[in-house]
Amino acid sequence: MISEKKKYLLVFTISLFIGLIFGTTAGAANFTNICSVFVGQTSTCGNTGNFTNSMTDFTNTLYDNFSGPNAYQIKFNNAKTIPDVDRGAPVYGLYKIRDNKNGTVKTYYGFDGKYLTDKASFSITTNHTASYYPSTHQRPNTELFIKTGDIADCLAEPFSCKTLEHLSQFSIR
Amino acid sequence: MTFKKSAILSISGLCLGIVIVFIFSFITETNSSAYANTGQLKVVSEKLIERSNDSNLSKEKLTKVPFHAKVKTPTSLPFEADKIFDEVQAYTGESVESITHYYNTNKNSYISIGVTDENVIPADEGIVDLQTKKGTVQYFDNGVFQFIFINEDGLFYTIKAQKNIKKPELKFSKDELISIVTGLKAH
Repeated sequence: MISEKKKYLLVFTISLFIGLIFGTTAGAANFTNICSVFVGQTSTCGNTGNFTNSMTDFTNTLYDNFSGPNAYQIKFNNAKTIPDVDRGAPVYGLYKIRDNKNGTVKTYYGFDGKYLTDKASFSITTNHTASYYPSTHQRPNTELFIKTGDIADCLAEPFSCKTLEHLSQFSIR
Repeated sequence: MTFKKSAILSISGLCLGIVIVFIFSFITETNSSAYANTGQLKVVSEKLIERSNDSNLSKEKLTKVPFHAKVKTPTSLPFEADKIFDEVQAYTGESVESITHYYNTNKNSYISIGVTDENVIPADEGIVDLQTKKGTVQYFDNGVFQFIFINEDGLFYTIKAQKNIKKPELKFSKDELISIVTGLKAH
């Protein structure tokens, strides 16, 4: 026989568990990383991701340096990557700053086609100010794409040739 | 066990769970310089689909692109493509880009043409304007690829080219690239 106390504890635990799942699902945005900054301050948003398949095995970190000039804008100063490749020849693709409030996508092609193994780090100056609105779907975000292999690899193994994305969203605190 | 007590406990448990998740999210968002994620990168394109092998799959995939009917395709390339692959990249929200990859095995020449209905603004330093019969397009060379950017009929086209994938120093002439632009036709 389960005691009355244990029954209450069981009900509470199950509810807590459901609450945790609900909270995670309800708050889950389609972003791998969320970073914020106080007005007048500058910060760096680090987004580390890894990937393994038959073509490659690597980890890459994207650092977005950004600031909050006012309550309605986020300025992106520069972007830097730190790759760490264990196997294969993954290559960078585009870097985008998506201004969701204004519906524009500033796109940088400087990384495109560069092997992650070419350098210890890559960086680009962006100096782009995007609009900010607290609503999640109107916050700006940055995206860096990585292809699991170069053109030759992808043509040889088209089924394993995937395009991957570092995705970060930004807000003002 | 009374119904009233169970209900109170259930609601308290649910609320506590939600509060814990939101406090955790708040801490994560505040701590912006920390690595908030070390998981697997998001896959936005699963594979390349070879036209000769998977024509139906290719067609099926491409027709799902909302602006597919408006997409123009090249009538001439600087080489004869013996391998053609299609790819659809699905980004955040509903936006997609359809990309066709053209390759010549003997010459190791490569061109891809990507199309999206997003309002893309190329932002690299060193982008220059080129005049064509179709109007002004933009040109950029990042040392690996040559790019042509075209805004036409509400779509943004990116032509990405490498004359020899084993010798990135070899380049297509601008006239060769412009002829791709002028040869883009609705199907």
